[in-house]
Amino acid sequence: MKGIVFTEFLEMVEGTFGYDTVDSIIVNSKVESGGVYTAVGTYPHSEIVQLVVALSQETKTPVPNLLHAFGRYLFDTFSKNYTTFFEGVDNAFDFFESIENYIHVEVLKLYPDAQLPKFYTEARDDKELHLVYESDRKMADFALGLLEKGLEYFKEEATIEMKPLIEDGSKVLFLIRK
Amino acid sequence: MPKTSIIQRRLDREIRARKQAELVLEKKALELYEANNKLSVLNAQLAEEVEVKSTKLEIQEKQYKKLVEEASDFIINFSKSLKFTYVNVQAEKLLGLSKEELLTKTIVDFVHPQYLEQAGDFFYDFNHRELNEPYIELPITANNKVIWLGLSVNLVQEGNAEYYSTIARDITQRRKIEAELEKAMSGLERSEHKYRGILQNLKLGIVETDVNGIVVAANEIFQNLIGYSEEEILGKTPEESYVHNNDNQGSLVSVGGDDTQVSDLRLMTKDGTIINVLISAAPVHDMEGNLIGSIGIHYDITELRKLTRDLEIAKNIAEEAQRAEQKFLAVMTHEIRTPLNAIVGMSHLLKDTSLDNEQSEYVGLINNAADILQSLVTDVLDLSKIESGKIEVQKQDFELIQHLDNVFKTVKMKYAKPKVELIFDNRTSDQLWVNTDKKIVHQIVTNLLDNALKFTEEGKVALVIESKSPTEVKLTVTDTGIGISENRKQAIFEEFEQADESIQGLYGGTGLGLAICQKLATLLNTRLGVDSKLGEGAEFSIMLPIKAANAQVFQTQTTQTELATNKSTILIAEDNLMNQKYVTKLLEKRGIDYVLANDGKEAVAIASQKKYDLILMDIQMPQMTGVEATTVIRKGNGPNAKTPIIALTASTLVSQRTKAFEVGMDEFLSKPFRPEQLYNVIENYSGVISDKEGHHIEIDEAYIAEYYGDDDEYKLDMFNTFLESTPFELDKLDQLSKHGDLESLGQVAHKIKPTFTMVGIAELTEFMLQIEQAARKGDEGARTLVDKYMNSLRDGVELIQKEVKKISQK
Repeated sequence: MKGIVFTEFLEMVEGTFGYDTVDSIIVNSKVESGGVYTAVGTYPHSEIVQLVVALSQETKTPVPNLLHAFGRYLFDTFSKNYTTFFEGVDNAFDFFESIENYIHVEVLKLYPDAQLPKFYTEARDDKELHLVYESDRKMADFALGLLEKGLEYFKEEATIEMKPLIEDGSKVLFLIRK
Repeated sequence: MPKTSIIQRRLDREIRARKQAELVLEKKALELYEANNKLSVLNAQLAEEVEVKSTKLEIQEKQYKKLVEEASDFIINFSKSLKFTYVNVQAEKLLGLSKEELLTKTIVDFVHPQYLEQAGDFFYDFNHRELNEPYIELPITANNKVIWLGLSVNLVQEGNAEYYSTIARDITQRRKIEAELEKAMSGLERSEHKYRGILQNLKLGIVETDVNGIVVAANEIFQNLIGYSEEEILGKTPEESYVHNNDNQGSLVSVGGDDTQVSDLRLMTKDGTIINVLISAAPVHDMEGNLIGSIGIHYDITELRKLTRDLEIAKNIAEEAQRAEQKFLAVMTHEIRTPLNAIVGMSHLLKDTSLDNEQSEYVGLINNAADILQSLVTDVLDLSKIESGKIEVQKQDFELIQHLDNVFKTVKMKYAKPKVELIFDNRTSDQLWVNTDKKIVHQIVTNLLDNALKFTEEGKVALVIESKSPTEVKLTVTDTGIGISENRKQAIFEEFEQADESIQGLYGGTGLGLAICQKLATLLNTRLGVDSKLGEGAEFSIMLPIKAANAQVFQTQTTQTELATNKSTILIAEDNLMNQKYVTKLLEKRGIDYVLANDGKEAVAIASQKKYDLILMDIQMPQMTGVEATTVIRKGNGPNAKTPIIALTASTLVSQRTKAFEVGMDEFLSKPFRPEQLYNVIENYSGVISDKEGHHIEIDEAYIAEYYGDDDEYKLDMFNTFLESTPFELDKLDQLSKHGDLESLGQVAHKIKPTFTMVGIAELTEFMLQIEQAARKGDEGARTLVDKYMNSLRDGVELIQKEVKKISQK
């Protein structure tokens, strides 16, 4: 997993709970890296899971909520750091569809070893977009946060309904209705 | 947890993170550097490659240029204003000017003036629309010669400049050949046009097929004929598309065969109409003589066929009508005969009653008229029988001279013409055996003699028998009568024609006699000859073949004849007991042997055993009708296949009688029939000589009923008239016989003769006729006959007396 996810996550935790909590979850989770992350590095996925679980225990907040909050947080970082992906896109649906077809393609060019979820359109009309999230990492809640912030970014109002297609959450359908 | 240690850990993490990041970045920087080095190398390689390629191109260009300069084709470039900008060496030679000189000229200076306009049009088109093949052929004048060039034109752009680049080739030779070919082709076309025109006018459908019988071309007439367009039948065999299924007899042309074939087929047009065509198909060969297909010429004969069919139908109708007419005639004539016989009989009776002169004359006229009518009816019946094929020639061996003598005597008896001498002139041997139809010879000779006597008032009538060769005998009837003019000689053989129209008035007759004779002669495969001059009498003759080795045949034949006569037997097929009794009794009276069959099936079985002289066949019988039985007997090869069969029928239906004739019955007797009728038939058809002694006399009730009906008073009146005169006349007959006065005997017999018919005992009239005929001949045998028959005659009178008593007692 890219280092930016870790650095951003720890920044969010620090911003919200203070560095004490950051230090606490690093120590408690016993991550192999010892909590040393740089945005340009690459780290095992398991470490973010360990950190999230530790934060959940520390703050008595469920893991999905934490992932959801992190998703919302990360969108802002992305929209600030990677403006190229927003150029020429004027609506949320187009942007959501470009995740799989454009953003992930470009990410892979830069980081050929990146492991990205599948996030493809199943159906679309003017009012509705059906996106399928598919990943062994089961981070659909994280995706939900990203999507919500995406709508806000384009100043569009829509409801997002999550439907697990596989019970363990490795495949989830997002029904986005305007 | 102490704050300092947290800060310490944080710092530591930050430092380590920074170092980690530096490491990553350093690694990335190194990668970048290496990538850059690689790119530099690649760039150098590329530059080198470009240089090599450029040198190669340069060499190639030089080569091309050389090629262009030295090409056998003319390469000429000119500007948009058609001014030369470049010419190769070949072009210089062609145009007879140096490159420098040419560059001052335009292409127009060389193009043949007649083609300038065409050239102008071409370049206009070239500039204004996209030409698929920018190519033009133009004649140019150079070195005082006209040379045809074929130019491929390209517009070349170099920077801002545009010019035409052309590659031209000398096509003078080709043009020359083409011109000649065109000339030849136009001749061919004219010739083809001519034949096409002929074919078009002939309205012949032409179809071309390949070796597999698949249609490769069809002309317009054929397309119009079958209603399919050429596209619809191409690629298929005619059988697949338009030959009528039933006529599917393989390919139209036997592929591989060298013969032209003509066949007659039915085609099914697109709209389902069936047409008849006559197809003449011929194989087609290529230059090397290989078979490459066939051409079929189709001629529509549908109308012709229809016409033929219509004609056939018309012909059948006509023939049917003719057959119907003949049948009608035969049946009608037969039907007329019965009442006519009554008129003849009754008027004869009437003549012998006491009449005044006037009445006598009237009766004479009735008599005469009835006689004429009777002979007319007989003739018509004979004629229609011949024409409808009812008369079957039945050849048999017989002795001609004796037979002719009998015929002659019969005719002689019939006519009493004191001024005419009748001569029987046999110039051959006493006996002459022939094999022919006895009855037909009899009829021809009788007719000829009748005819001769009719037209001869004075002089001679002779029957001459001559043997002109060892194989033929000629029978001639000559007379000294009125004769026939040259131009009527053929007409007299026509039906209802006589030698002269006035004849009818003078001599009467129907004009059928000779026609019948001629037709009968034809049946015997001979012809009736005539020789006559007007006013000098006539001579009619026929030739008959004589049997070879006459004497020998005579020997065997005599025996056979005797046998046949002695063994003569009649087969009676009759299911009704009453009728059986009636018929058998009549036969017994005449001593004729018979065999009885109770139904048709039995009759067929019996008939298959041995030959009978005659078969009397009832029509309505159980098991098998008379018609069916006759059919079986006639169709089989049994002994009675040719035996005369007489139908006995109560039916008056003409259809039934016609049916009887059709299956091969020879005659029919309507029930109830009189004994006389039966005897006549037996005599006519079997030649059985009946013994007339000791027979039973009875009144023919049917006859009486027919003529008197229920009118007893009238019947009594007639019977009493009979009883008043006849016993007296019979006494007289007896007396005259005893005294041997034959002449008076003949006269009295003649007078009595019809009276028996009048009272229903026609049988006795027959006896009386025999007596009369014998007496008139001066034959002493007449007296014997009187003795022989007198008892029967008196029995007849007695019978009538009883009958009168019976009627009176009612």
